[in-house]
Amino acid sequence: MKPYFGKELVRALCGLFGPSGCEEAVRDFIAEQIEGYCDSYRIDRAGNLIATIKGRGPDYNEDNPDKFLIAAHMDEVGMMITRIDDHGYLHFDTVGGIDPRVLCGRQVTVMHGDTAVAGVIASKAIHLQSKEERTKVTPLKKLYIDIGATDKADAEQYAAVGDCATFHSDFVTFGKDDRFMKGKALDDRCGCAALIEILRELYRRPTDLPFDVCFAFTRCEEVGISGASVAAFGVAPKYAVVIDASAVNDVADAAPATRVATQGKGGMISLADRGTIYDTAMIRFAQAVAEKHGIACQIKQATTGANDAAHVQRSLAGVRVMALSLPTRYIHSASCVAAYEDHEAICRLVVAMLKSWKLS
Amino acid sequence: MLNLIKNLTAVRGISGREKAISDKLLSIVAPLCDRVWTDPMGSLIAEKKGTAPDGARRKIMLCAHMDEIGFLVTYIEDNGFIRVAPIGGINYVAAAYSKVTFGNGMKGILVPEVGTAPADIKAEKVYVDIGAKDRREAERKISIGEFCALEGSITRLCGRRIAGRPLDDRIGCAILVKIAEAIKETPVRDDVYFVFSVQEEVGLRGARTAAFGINPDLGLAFDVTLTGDCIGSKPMACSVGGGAAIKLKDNSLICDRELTEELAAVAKANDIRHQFEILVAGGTDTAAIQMSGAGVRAAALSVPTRYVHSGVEMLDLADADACVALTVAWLRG
Repeated sequence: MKPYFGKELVRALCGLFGPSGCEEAVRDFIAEQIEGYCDSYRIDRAGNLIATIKGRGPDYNEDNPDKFLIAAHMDEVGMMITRIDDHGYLHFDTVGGIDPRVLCGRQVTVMHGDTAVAGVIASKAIHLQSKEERTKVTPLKKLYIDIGATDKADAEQYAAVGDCATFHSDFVTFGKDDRFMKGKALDDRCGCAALIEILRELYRRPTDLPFDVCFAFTRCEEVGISGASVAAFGVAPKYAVVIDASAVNDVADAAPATRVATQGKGGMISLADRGTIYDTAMIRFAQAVAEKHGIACQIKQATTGANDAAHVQRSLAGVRVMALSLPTRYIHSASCVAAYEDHEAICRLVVAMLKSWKLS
Repeated sequence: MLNLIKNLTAVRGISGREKAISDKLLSIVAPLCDRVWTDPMGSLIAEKKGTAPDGARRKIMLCAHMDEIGFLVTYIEDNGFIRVAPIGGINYVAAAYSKVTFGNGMKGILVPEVGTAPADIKAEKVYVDIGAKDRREAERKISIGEFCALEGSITRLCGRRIAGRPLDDRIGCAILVKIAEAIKETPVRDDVYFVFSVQEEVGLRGARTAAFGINPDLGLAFDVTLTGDCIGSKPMACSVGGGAAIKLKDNSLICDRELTEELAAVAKANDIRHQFEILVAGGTDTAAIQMSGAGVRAAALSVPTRYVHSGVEMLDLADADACVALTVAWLRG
C-alpha cells in the first residue's frame, strides 16, 4: 500500500465510507498508513485503533510511563435504512446530526455488505410543489433514497434495513493555490490525517519525549456514544489533545460577533463548549508554542458544539484536555469546506507542543 | 458560620476557573486534615484519617462544589462592548443590570441590548459594558477567553437568614469546613474525604472523577435545593427554615434508601431539625458520585434556598447548621 501525504492523504481518507458504527474501511486504511511508523498499534474492544510512539530520554519513566493521548474520530455523519417500501424506496434516519435541508437531491452511497450501491435522496421537483411546500423544509420522514429499484423485492437485492449510507461527494480543491478543500467527512478525517502526519513526524525525527504518545482513532463520536471514552479508559492518559473539525460562521451575512473564527488563521483552540471546559495551562502552553514557532492558531469565539474531549476529560480520575479544531464551513453536509493551511498548522502545532512539552 | 460564608463568597470561582476559591479553601482545610491534593480536573480533596484500625475503616466522601455560574468573553465589539457566553444555567432576567467581576479584578455591568423585551433577554442579547471608549481600550483590560461572574456579596436579613451569591454552593463548602473542624476536635472512626468539586454547574463533572479517584464506600453531597415556600412556587414540601433537607430524589438520581433512612434516624435521635427533599428539576453531584467506578452508595443533604442562580439567593443559616450537626452525629455513629 502506498503511503499518502498532505492533501492526498485527506482526499483518500474523505473518500472512504465510514458512518458511525461502520468505520472498518477507514480503520483498515489508517492501519496501513501508520504501519512501520509507530512502535505498536492495537484495536481495542470498542473498535478504536490505538497506535503508540514510545517516549525516551531523561524525563521518561520506563517502568511506569505517563501517557499522552491524541484523539480524532474516524466516523462521519450518514444515514441508516429503516424501511423499504412497496415502490422500492429506502426510508432512512440520520446517523449523527444532519440538517434535512442539505439532504434533498444529494447522491448517496448505500453500503450493502461489501457492495456500494448508488442512490439519490429524492426531492419533489419545484414544478410539482404547492405554494406551501416551497416555503417549508421537507421533514426527514418524507425523504427517501431512490436506488433505481422497481419494487420492494428488487430493492431488497441491493439494500437491507440496517444498511448505512453516506454522502457521495468528490473531494475538490479550489481557490488561490488550491488552498481550500471541499468534500464530505472533513469532520473528522482531517483529524485522522493530522494524527497520521504527527505520528510519522515523531517517528521519522525522534526526540526525547517524557511520555508515550498514544494516537486514538476513535469510533461513534457523531452519535455521542464516543469510542474515545473507552480509548481513554484503556490508555489512562495524563494529558489529551482532541483534534476535530468544528463549525465556523465566517460567511457572507454573519455579524462579526457570531463568526466563531476565520479560515486561514490556524486551528481553533477551544476555551469551553457544551461538553467541556478546557485545561487553562494547556491552552496557554499551546499559545506560547504557536507564538514561538510562528504557527497560526486562534481562539474559538463560541461555546457551541461538543466533542470527544468531554468523555476523555471525565474518564478514570480525570484527564487534562485540550481541543484543537479545524475551522470548517458547511460542516455535516456533502460539501464541507476547510483551508488546507489550517490543517497543516494544527499538525505543526501539536508536533511542536509534544517536542517541547512543559506545563507551568 | 456567617463570617465563613462571607469569606467564601468574596472569592470568584467560575466553573473551569476555580483556582482562587480552591486556594482559599486549601488554606482553611489544610490545617484540619492529614493530606490535601488536587485531582487532574482541579477538585480539591482533603483526607482525614479515622481512628479505627486498618481494614475496619470505611471511606466516606463528603462533597460540595466550589464552582459558580458565570460568563466567558467570546468577542469584543468595535465600540468596546463585550459579548459573553454562559457558563452554567444562567437566568438572564435575574442577571441583567448587574455588576460583574472579571478574573483580573476588572469590573463591568451586564446589560441587555436596548429595547429587548424582558422575555427575549438571552445570551445573544446581552453584553458587558466595562466603560471602555472603544475596542482598543477594552482589549487592554480584557481579552477573549476571560471569565466573569456577578459580584459576590452577602446581606443579613431577619433572624439568621441571609441573601446574596454565590450561596450555591459556597454554603455546601462552608458546611464541609464546619464538619472538618468538628472531627478535628473529636475524630471519627472512618476515613473522611472532603471534596470541593469543580464544574458541577456545567454537568456534575468534577465530582465524577474525584469519586473515581477516591473510590469511596459512601458518598454524601451538600448543595442547595429549591423550595415550595415562595409566592408562585410549584408545590414542594421543602421550605427555608425547615431544617436540613434529606434528599430522597432529584432529576439525576434516587438516593440510597438505607443511607437516607439512617440519616433520618440520626436526625430524630439527636433532635436535629430536618425535612425531606424531592426535587423535580435539576441534579446534583450526588448522581455523579453514585455512578462512578463500580457504583457508590450515595445520598445528599440540602440547604433549602430561594431564588437560586440569582444575585439574591436566600437561605437560613440554621438549616446549614442542621446539616453540619446531622452529618457529624452520623459520622460519630
